[in-house]
Amino acid sequence: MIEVKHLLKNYGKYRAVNDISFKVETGEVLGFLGPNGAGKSTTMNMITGYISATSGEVLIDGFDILVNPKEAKKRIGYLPEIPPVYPDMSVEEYLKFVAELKGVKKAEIKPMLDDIMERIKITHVSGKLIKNLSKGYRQRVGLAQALVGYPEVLILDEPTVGLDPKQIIEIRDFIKELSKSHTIILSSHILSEVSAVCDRVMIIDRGVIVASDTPERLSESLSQNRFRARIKGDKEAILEAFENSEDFISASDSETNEENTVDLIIEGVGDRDTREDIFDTAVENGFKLLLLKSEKLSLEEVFLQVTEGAEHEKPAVMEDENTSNDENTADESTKEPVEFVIDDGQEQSGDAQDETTASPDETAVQQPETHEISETPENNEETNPEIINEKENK
Amino acid sequence: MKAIYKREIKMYFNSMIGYVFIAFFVLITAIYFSVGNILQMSPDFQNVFSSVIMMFLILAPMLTMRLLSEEKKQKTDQLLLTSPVSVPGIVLGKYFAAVTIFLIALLITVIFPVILSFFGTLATAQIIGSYVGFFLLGSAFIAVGLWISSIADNQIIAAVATFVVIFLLLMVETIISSASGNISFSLTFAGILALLVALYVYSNTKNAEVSVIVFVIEAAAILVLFFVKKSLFAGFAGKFAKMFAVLTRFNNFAAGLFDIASVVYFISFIVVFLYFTVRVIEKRRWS
Repeated sequence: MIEVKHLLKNYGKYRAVNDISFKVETGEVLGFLGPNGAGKSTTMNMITGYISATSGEVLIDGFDILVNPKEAKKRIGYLPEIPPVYPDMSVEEYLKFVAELKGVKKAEIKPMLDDIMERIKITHVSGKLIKNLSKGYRQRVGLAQALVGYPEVLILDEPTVGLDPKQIIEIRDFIKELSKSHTIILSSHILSEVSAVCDRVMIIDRGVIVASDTPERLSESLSQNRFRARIKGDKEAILEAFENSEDFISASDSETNEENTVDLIIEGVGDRDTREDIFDTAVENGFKLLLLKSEKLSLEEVFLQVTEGAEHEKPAVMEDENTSNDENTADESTKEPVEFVIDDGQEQSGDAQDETTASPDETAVQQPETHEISETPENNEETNPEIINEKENK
Repeated sequence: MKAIYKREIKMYFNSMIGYVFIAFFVLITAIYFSVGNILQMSPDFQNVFSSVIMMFLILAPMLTMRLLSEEKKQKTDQLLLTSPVSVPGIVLGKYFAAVTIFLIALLITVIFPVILSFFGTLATAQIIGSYVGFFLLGSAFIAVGLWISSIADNQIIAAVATFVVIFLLLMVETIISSASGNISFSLTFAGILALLVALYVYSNTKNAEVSVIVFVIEAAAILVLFFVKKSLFAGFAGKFAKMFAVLTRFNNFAAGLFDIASVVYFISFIVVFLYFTVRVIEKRRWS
């Protein structure tokens, strides 16, 4: 349905998108994930034909967006980062204009708009001027605009940004409903959204795809056979027992809230059930096992690892495909109530930072990466000049 | 294109601009009509237009300043450019909308010569000629304004720049023809043109060396030509200015001449500026 081949975009000397290729099949929902300035919006703008690529091809249903723009654009509904609404038009007027612009037949316009406004729940504001609407409603009008003409492909650039939690859930449910009959690409830096809605996640960093897989597998591939065990007893003895055992690749100390206990993060060997090994080791040494749970990386940890990993030459996640599908872990990742904004550039970056530090448990979980996570805020600043640079070049 | 045309027309009347434009235009024409025709008891209505022309300095920017600059600012160009409409379609839709508003205002003023016709005989050919010429002149200025609006980042800049450019277009003949007999003036003028070409090359290639080389070659060519054939430069500036002398073209119409060459001139003028507008939009997508 959507085919992107070796897409490349230069802004002067700055390369915003560097040789991206991927395919989205009919009915698939692809999530674009990446820090600010990673090239998400640029890629989307190229797919929709708003800007042209320096080199590379975009095919929508077989039509090249540059060679055959009319046919290709007919099939796309696009919600850009800022909804492209005219403040001095009423909602209905505006949607009617969009319908005419997209060449919808006159007789079909009225029922189509009624249907769309009904579904997005903006019927009651249809007579209002858009400049009098709140941000959330503008966003909805933007979404309605993308749906006009019932295109098969929807490109949504951060569809839930600026909405309140209730609206976010509504829009998310709506996108889920749409995904039954549409091919969708959506970008976001809210990871729970991506894992809740998307069939496949693509993480982009500095214009390059660093990982691409289902949300479950992404987190699994980085966290197989990792467990957290809370054990009662003398710290030194416990550490010694577990570290010397051959059943485990590694066992490391983690912070704990309970007195007289030690939290260990234990990584098991191969296909063996590491839980049994942990239990046995504890019993052999006369320790009491208080807690044993699978230690999964949440999607945001994967995200951090992957986007940071590019610098530190971490093994690429994409190659790890033959992971066994443990149902437990798969379930957990979708259940996890993550409302975690990675870096929203402006005011929210503070929040994101707070959250990383506010959850020492999670940070401590993967000790080798701890320093990287705490690096995030600085890293933002590093990328900022690039963002500014990009704007200037535009 | 039709959707954009309809929207722009609607917007002119949703905001005050359409009404203000028409009211202002009719009012100014009415004042000149009252003073020049009624109080003077003169049937020469075509003189009114010659006086109203200066009003284009304000009227044309009023119509065109927000047409494309606002789209950019509100990011609504993302909607237009990702819709199945071609860029020329977008530009033409907007252009025709502005011209339509201008035409409506112009048609209202037909009332004045009709009133005059009750009281005496009119120079019908001159008046009709004036209307045609005035319409073409206004359409040309609107094309210029639309082009500037596509370059400018906000409407105030667009309005001021349009004002300046139209002012230059109206004045170009007066300024240059008075000095065009002077060879050193022509030489300087040729130098300035050469410099502009070099700057244009620089703005497109961002390559300082190439631009300097281009300028040196141009300057050398001008100097060689100057020493080989001095007469070439006599009246060069004047000839060049004539290409932009829109006012002379209008005066032909006002004299009652239906000059095909002038019609072609205005239409080419409009087409060229609309083409520039399309290029500006396309270029932004490619850079």
